[in-house]
Amino acid sequence: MHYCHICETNQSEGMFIYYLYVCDQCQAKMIATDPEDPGYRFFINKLRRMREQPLKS
Amino acid sequence: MKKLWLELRLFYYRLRIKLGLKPKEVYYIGGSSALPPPLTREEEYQLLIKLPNGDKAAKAMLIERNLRLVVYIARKFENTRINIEDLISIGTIGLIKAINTFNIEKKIKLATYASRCIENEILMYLRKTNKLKSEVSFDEPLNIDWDGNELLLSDILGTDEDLIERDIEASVDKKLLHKALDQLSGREKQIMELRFGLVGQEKLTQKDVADLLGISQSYISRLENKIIRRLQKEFEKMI
Repeated sequence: MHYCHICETNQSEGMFIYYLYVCDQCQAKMIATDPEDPGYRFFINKLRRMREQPLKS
Repeated sequence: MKKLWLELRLFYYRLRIKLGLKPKEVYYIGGSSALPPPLTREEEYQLLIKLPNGDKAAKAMLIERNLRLVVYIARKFENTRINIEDLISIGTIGLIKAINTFNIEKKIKLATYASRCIENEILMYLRKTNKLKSEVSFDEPLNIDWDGNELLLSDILGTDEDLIERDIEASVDKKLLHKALDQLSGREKQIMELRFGLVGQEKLTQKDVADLLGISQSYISRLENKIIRRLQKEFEKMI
């Protein structure tokens, strides 16, 4: 189980897009969302985190 | 030998997906340091033939190794007032869409197809923002602090505290005013209605009301003050 940075829940199926873990459902939603859709901005904001290296604890 | 190296890299990606390991190398997209190097033609082909089987490691590697292309295309749109970070995010969505819909049987180069998808994604977004220039999204980040937390427009938006009571109070006030007006004489009531537009018409000046009723403006002024004081008393009685 990994923490999906898009839906912010633990999910078992997904993959890393650079530093960002994205679950399969969120990836499917992202692909189905067009720039005209109101929810598109949400994915843009979330993907900004792709470039951030998580802090090691 | 190259194929073995690629299989080893893929194994590393699978391990990352399984164990949640983050990339060892530190790159910054949009920064001066280099991004993951692009794949060779052969490597790309080896990964692409794994895609139809749902190989997530191959997909992740294809996305990561094509991020340079995203940054390159995003930079071409830097003069569009859209933040470069946003352009890279939009381009990445375009790249993910490209990798998911790429068909190896169409004999087209992935870079050509992905470039078109990335550019399309950015152009569609630009078209939308041009249409909505005067509008602002609730999810628009206004600021980002040192920890990377975004302050969105929706975070600072609120409604007035009296939003619900305001209309109810106004309607009660109107009822009370009409009750108080009923206590006035016909002419007094008419003066107030004309001066303050109480029966749906425009407000008139003291001069207009004076001309209409054939009396002097100073008399209207005195009457008005007297009527307002009387109405205040009526109000106090009612409350």
